[in-house]
Amino acid sequence: MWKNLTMKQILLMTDGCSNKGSNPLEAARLARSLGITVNVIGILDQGEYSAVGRQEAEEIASAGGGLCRVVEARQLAMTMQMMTKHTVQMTIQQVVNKELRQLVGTDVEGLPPEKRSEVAQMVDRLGDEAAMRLVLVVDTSASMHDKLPLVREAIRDLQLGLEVRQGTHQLAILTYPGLQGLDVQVVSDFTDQPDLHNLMNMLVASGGTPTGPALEKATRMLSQELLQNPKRGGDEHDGSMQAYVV
Amino acid sequence: MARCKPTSSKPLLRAGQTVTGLWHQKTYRVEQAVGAGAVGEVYRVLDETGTAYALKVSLQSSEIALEHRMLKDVQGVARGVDLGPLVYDLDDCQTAQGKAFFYVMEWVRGTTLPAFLRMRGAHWTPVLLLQLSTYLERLHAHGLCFGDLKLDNCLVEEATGTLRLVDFGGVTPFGRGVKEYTEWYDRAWWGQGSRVADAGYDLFALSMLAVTLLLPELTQRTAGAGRPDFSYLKKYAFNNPTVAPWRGVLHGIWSGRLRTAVEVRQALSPLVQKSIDEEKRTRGSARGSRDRRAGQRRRDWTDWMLYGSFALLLLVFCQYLILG
Repeated sequence: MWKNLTMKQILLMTDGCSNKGSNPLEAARLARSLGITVNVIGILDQGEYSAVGRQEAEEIASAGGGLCRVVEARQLAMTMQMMTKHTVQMTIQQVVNKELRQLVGTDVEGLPPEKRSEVAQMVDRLGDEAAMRLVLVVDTSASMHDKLPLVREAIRDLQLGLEVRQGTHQLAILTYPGLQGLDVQVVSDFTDQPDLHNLMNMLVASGGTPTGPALEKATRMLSQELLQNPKRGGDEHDGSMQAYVV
Repeated sequence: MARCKPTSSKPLLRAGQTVTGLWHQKTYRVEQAVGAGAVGEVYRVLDETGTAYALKVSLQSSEIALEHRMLKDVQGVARGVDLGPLVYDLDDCQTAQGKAFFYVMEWVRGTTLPAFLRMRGAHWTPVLLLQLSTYLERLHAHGLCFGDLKLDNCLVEEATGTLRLVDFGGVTPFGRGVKEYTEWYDRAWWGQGSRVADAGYDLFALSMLAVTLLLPELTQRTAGAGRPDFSYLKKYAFNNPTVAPWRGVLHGIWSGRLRTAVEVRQALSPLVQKSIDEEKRTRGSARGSRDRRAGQRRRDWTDWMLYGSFALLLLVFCQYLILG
């Protein structure tokens, strides 16, 4: 089971509220049901973030089973690394805890503290070896324009971190709103080293903030294999883990 | 599991409260918060006998378990050198935010490097970096990269000039990706290599630590400026007269000529020799002028302690130069 483990994550970066298209919470819920974790980073605009926007960000992350952080643009790189790594660890930890409960009747926190480091080391190693498929969904509405250079640098730095993992990674980048009136733009399909030059060309003067459709597109990209090959592999665990097996 | 936090969230413990370990039943009285990071918070605490310790607490059990284990492993690596803080208790506790996990370690006394250098003089810089190189050499010999080497993770004991490393949260076995890093010290961020844990990663961080001590204004200038420009940094550094004696070491590390902590230590030895001479001069003239002011010859115990311990410190580290 561990051999086929692929971590699927959507990382949403926005500086405000969605105001167009389908409900982003529904999109996040659907993603989660397909084994995809949705994390959200809210980017402060000169130290400010609207209360409504903050609430929406928190709700999207909650629906998506992920983390939410509101940070300055220059903290993006570290925040992205922390969130993707943390999500991987939490996912594996949940599986390990399930195993432990079946074996010894308790999860890792029920073990005496001295016994936990070996479990933690195993979770850490598995997280490092797991394959990762990550879609970055970047808000490119008007207010994000001056932050995009920092977003690009943060993505470049995230790549540096992904490269040193033992496990493989595939990164895709979407922006919203898209060009020519479309809701979403695919800047890069899945690859281990996306070309970031195009990111700066995705600036659009108007088009609203269609967060829902962007999340739906990301979900479709990540669940491609699942739709094509349902129930692959002889997995003895219950259906809830099936989504993690590619 | 989502929680929209602002960058600073509510602390887990309060000054004055008592923490009781759920497994080992030891109690600690919280004195004050001393730091907070991505993973957890550190507090100064007193145990039942009134001895001071550092207590690191987090809501994530795995990080506490891993760090405690790493510190214990490092104690095995240390062999007489005060490599890392000693660790004691590992336990769980109840906090206002639910169950938390903590470990207790030695309370390391000291000031920051810049504060120490302001007190004792900039000529102490090579001595401090020599100590760091020795620690790194010891870690590297055991296949461990310190990872998050930076000013914040170094303390110097004022009286003896002994440097101690604190916060071993970034220690990573060679070959893995460095688990915790800080941009200014990160080789990959500057475009000078990968983020894979190896000796060179620590040596690069060491060189950036030297740069930030020698040219503090440079750190401010490059912060938050988008893509970092290493050639600008090199040019600025090499054109600066303060850096002149350090050219060999810095260029050696940046060009890859100095590949190990041992080689860096050897490259530092002429600078350290000059530090000794400078210290003799400073101690001698300070004592002379003070005696003249006092109008009589007076033996000052602090004088002897400082001079004596400086020489002793160098003797201890010099043995590595001869043998190493």
